[in-house]
Amino acid sequence: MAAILRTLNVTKRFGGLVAVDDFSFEIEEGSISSIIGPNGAGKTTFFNCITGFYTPEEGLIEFKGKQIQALRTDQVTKMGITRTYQNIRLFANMTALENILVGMHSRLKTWWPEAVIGNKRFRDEEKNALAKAQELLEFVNLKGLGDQLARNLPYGAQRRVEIARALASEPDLLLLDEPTAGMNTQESAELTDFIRNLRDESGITVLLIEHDMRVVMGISEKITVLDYGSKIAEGKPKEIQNNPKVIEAYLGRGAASGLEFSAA
Amino acid sequence: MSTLTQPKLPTSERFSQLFGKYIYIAVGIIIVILLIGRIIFVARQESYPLSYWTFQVINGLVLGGVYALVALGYTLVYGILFMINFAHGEVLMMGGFAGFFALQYMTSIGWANGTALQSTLTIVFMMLAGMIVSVITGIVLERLAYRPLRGAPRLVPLISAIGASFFLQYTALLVFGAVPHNYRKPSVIDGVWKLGDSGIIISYTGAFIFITSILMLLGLFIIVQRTKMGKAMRAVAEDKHIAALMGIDVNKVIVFTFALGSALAGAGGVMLGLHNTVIRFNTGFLPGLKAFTAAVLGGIGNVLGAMIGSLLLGLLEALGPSALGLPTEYKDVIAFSVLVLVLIFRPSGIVGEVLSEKKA
Amino acid sequence: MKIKDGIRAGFIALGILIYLDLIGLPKTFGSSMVVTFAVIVFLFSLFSLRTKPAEAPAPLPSVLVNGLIIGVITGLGFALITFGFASLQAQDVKVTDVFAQISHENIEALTGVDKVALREGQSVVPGLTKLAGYFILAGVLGGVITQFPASKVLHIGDEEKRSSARYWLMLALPFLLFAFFLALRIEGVDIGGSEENSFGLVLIYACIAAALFAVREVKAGVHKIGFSALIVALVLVIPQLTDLKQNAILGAVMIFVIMGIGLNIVVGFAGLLDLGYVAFFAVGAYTYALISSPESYIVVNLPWFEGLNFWAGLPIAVLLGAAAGIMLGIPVLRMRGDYLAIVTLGFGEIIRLLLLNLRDYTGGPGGILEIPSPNLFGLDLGNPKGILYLGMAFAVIVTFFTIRLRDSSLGRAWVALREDEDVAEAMGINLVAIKLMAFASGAAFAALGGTLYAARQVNIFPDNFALDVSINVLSLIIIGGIGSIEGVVLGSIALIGLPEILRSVDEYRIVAFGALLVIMMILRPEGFLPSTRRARELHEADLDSPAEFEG
Repeated sequence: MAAILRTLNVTKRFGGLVAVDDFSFEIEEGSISSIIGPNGAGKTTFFNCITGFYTPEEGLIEFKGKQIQALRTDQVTKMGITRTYQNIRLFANMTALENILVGMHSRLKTWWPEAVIGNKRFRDEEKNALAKAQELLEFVNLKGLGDQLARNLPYGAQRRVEIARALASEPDLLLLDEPTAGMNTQESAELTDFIRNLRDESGITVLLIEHDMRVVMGISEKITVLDYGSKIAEGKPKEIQNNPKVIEAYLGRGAASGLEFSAA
Repeated sequence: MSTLTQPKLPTSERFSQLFGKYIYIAVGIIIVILLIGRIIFVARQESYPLSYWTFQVINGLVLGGVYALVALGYTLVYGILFMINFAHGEVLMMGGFAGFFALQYMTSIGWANGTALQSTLTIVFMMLAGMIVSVITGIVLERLAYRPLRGAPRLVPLISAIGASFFLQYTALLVFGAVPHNYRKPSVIDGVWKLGDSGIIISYTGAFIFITSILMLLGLFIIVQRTKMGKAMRAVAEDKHIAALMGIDVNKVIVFTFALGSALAGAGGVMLGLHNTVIRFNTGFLPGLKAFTAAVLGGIGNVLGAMIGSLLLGLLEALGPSALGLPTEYKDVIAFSVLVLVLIFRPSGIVGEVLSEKKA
Repeated sequence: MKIKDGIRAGFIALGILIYLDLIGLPKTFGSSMVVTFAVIVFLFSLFSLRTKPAEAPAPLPSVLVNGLIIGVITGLGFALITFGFASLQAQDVKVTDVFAQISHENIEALTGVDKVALREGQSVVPGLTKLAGYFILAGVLGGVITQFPASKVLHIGDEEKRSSARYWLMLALPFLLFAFFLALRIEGVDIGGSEENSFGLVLIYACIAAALFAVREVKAGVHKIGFSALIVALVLVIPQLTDLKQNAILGAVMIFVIMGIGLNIVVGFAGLLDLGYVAFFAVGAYTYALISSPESYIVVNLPWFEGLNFWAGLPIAVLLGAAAGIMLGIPVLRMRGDYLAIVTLGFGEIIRLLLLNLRDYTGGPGGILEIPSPNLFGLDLGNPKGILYLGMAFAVIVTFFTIRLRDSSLGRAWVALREDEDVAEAMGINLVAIKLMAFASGAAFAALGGTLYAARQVNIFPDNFALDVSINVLSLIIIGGIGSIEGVVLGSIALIGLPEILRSVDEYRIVAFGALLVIMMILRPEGFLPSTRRARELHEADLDSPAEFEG
């Protein structure tokens, strides 16, 4: 299978701190992969490099055969990468439906003068967008909650709206930053199933950052371990579980026993 | 992996990316070149005597000293509350009026133009009056207009500050009248030194203002850096919640900050009165804006930056119009252009940390 | 209610009275202020002694004692201070050198002793005794009233369910007010636009305000259509019934409505705080002036160019305004919040200073004169009524444009930008494009307002384009209700329309306006007619984080 995303020697520094250090990896189209690592390992920074929020000092990022490391965030989104955030970042004072509609922004083609005139193309597009937003809402099991303000929704629902908003931009690659943070075991399990279904049904490639090892081991086809910004291991869940370097990276920090870590 | 070494980005997108990245630098360089060109052009055309330039430099330093006193009020408050105290110029104006009335009183009992000691005491009394009234104004302002709004979206306290500014300005207009009040200098600082035949003149007032403001700035520096309260201030500026957990009374620190900033503004108001020899209800507005500019120029939230920025702005204002061959009315245009340019090209200011761009 | 609270309330009231004395209310309004001050004491006593919703009612003696304390503190305190001022004046000390308003008129208004009598040694004590007596009486009375159920009406915060009768009354109110206005007109009562008699205009304002509130309440469907049609008819008819001066004032209100709607896009929708909005108003006005006035630099120096008329000049001015919006927008793209506010403020000042100093082109302080008025198919619109209708037409166009943009993906992108810039960009929104779009449309509307303003004023000067225009526009959208178009109209009436009537007490209006902004931010930061979203946002802090540092 072809790689949808490849990075080569990506390095991102903040002053003297090297947050991501010479990081190369690739993920296959239609796969579910995870990046794990102790806190501060550079996982989220790496996400920010992919989405164009940060520009890496060195290295290349290739998505669907095109280099994207120099693009702006919105251009990257248009190319088909979207993300969710570790600490949910919905537009709190917009409704769930409006949030999803904003996610659709890059797929709406009408120009503003058309909106002013209110021509047929504009009206059709708005109607379709609304229908699609409703569909997405249904897809994440939040039917009927579209008019609720995002910030009034329960935590789990906010997570799902955020995913729906990300899906609204019709991505080929979905980046999920600790999607199960703050969830209990049952909720996590539900979300895991949801992600797997999503991939199976629509073929979207998924890349996760995750702390909950049960989720990671259960869902990932490939796991990459980051420590101090560098890759220390990569492979199938089983291989990672028994990798002495990984265990050291975690236990060396005096973390909890085994590989069960709660979210930061 | 060899494919990755070949850039595949569409040319147009690459161009826009490069454009976005370097346009600021390019425009900046063009502006600098144009300015230097203009200065050289003007310098070759008309030449002012050296004494003129020295006069302007001294003028600029004096003005810069006053700006520094006011700018510190902005910077201290911004550093702690992340709000622009738009009414700070009015705090200055109140201090200026208090100093004026103190002067009136001392003149009426004959001290202002009495012996050197009496005259000196007059100045001390004026400064104290100005500082006390400004401190009261500042504290009341904080208590009534800002404290209830702490934690609100940033637009809200800013509007409140604008309202307070109007309120204070027009209250002063109504209470003290619209006529300009003339400061008559106490005899001890009324006069000039002439430096030989060079034509260089230094007024006593200017020297007094510059030296006093430097001394006060040093005092402030010591307060912020050395005292326990200063330490608390810096802690609150860093993180209010953590500071509160460490047992610091955040409200007390904020009030102290306002009091400190207002005291300096009060002194600045009196000095501005002595410098301009006149005070009116709207005296505070423009110096307030300029001082804010100076604070931004140096890097807002940064005490040292505010001092450097103020002196720089004072000099730019005094020298700029002549150097560029423009009439002196353009000094305000120059000041505001500096503000705009600094915020565009170096929003963190001269000394400021680069982080503040994200914070802002 | 403890004695301590009474003393505290008394001193606060005394402070307020002294403030009102110092800013010259007695001098301006004469002896009626004694009664007015007593009423203030009464209200203060009533409000500070009233039973708060969560408290048990205080016993009568305690309330009476506190009322008495408030009365005595204000009465004696105020009398003593006035006595002090009077004695100083009796000794020929010029109090006005310090307190400009404490002249002998002030003493006369408060004590009934005039300048001559004061010099001759007539005592002010009887007058002051009377004054103190009034205050004490007012304080006690306020305390007594709290004991009656009627005072419960004053409890703010009781939520009442709107009954059907109230609904209909609300819908009818604008028409009732208009009918009252009409009746006065037909009866020939003088309700003209003079400073002495502006009752007619106040009625019109009340009528429009009532309509704005009713529009929010009216149910969709037939009600809405019928009501809107009636309101439109009413608005069209008003300029026919008002006199010249009233129409001139309403015309000014319209210009600010247009600008308010424009700034609303920038600040209300996109959340970009622009304090230099006057710059674009100036660009519009000066562009039109420069290409139309026979006195302008361009027309004077280009022999073949005779100046454009209003309809040719308008699009040029608006386009240049939009271009100016983009030009000033580009450098501030990376800035957020306060920095943006200050840079735009700087821009505004730079433009004004340039207008003032580029004498050759802008005429400097002398401005540009003889700007042609608009006319439509030979109909001269250069009179207040014409300008008002023109302003109304422009306001409708601008409103239409704004609503359409608001409800499109661009409008959603603006809100997203205001909520969270980073996430908005991650959602595929080109921040540069939508920020510039907000600046450009806001600036275009301001330029439209400016063109109309230039045509209305005929002569324009740099002083017309000072910072206070920016502040006024910003304040009016905030007081009216940020993000909402009805709010802009209401704000324009409150901040532009009402003060125009009160020109004679100009300084008081600015003081009151400043205080209003502060109070408004504390009590109701979302304005009187907010968009629902903005109301939620501005109360976010109340809900999300308990006010830990409130003292």
